[in-house]
Amino acid sequence: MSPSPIEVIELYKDYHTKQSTIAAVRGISFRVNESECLGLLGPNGAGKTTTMNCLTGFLWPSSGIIRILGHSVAETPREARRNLGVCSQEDTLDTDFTVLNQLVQYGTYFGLRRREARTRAIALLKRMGLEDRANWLVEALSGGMRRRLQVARALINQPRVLILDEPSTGLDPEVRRDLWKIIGEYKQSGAAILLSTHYMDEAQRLCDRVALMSKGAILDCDTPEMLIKRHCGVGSLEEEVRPGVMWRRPANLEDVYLKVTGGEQL
Amino acid sequence: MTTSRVGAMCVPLVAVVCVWRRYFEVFRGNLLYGVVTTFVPPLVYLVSFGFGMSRVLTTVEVAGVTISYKSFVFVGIIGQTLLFQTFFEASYGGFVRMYYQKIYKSISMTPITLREVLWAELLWNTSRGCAAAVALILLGAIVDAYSPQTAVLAVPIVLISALLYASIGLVAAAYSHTIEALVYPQLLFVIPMTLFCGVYYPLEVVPPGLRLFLTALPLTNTVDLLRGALLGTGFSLLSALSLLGWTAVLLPWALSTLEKRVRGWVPPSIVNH
Repeated sequence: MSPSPIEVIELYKDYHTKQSTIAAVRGISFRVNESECLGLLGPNGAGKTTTMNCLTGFLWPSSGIIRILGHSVAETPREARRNLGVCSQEDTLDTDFTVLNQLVQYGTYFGLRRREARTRAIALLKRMGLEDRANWLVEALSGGMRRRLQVARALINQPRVLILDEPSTGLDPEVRRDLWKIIGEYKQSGAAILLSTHYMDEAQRLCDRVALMSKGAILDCDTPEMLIKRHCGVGSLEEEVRPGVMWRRPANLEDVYLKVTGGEQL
Repeated sequence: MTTSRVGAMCVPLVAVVCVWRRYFEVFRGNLLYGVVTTFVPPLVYLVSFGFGMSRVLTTVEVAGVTISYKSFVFVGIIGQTLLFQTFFEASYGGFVRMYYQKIYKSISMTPITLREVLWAELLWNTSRGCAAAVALILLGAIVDAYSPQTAVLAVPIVLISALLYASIGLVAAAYSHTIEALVYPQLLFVIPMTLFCGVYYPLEVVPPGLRLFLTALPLTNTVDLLRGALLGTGFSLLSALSLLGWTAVLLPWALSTLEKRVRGWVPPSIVNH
């Protein structure tokens, strides 16, 4: 049996300051299978980014086991990251390069030859709708283009595991939908995707399963449909959208989240 | 040594070279900027002191050996160039790459580890300093400031010194809360060293108590060793040990603090800011 693409067992991560210790992640466990997208859903400070940074090996967990395709991130980080693509929350594009050369250079970090990296980069830029910006400096790109370029960069090594930390933050609806399509297609090709978001529609549309996170813990994890059914029932909800105006609508993940966390705002 | 152990050693080296090449590609892409910032400042100093001061002061005595001031200051400026090139590239360049561009973070999410990225950073800064210093050493041999044969002896001194100054620059980058804060080590450490460590005048003219303190500073060691190698003023074991000692302390310190900083460690200067 082939190993699970992502396997997290009892992950803890504490941040120590002089005054106190902050438990950012408190004993979470989950797996992500091939052709599956698991969403980490939660407010800022829930521990999503810390979890993802532990998965990439950027942060050392306080305890717990993380394996990427069977390779321990702590013990064999090089092997674990060989098949990993990461689009981090913050913009980490290399502003010293043009759009195309950026991807080529990044490909070399995975051991790709420049010619091969260039071929892949051109194809990715075309897929992301950035081919006419190939020779632009990153600084000249709009926010949406930069985000798409970051996703393209995460795909340069054709990873079997993709980690996307709030990939669509700050994107306009059209670009967001295009990005969702790309992520969906990539999942269909067999990749395992771990996605963090605080957009309910994004989680509902992209994720096969959603883990609801709050204060470093996973409160519940299931398919969006099952989560809604379990916590809100099958019927529709009535909500007062403005004083005196009632609105009946189907329950969604936001309702689930608010119910599970007892009203914590996303 | 078994094959697997050789392989294990080669992989980090390949990774470091791969990242070093990133720096080189950027340098090549801005070649004019790179050449001007690397070679013009030392040439300006050389022209000013070599052709200006040497008309006022013809000879100086160092460790009992009388040498022309032109040769004396030429070698001093090689040391100063090493310090300036590596320190500024490591401190300002390193801070920008760490804090603004987040280069270290983005590369360390590939099969290349953060420690390898930081080694590449250190070696790139060292390379910049070495390139400038070696160019000046060759120029010195051409203009007959010393004999070409002795120039080879200076290479290991240049290499160790550049590693040390790059380490100092990276420590400064790791501890600075903003890019403006880098002005403190620059004004309180680097600039005073160039003025007091025997670049422009021999330390023999300095009061003995102060001389003892200055002798312990890295630039004094570099300049002392370079003059010994290039001008025949004698090899100073004390300077060699001091230079190696500084490097042995600062190089691991630079790598570990910078790694901690990139991973989220907050330097005290930020907490108290």
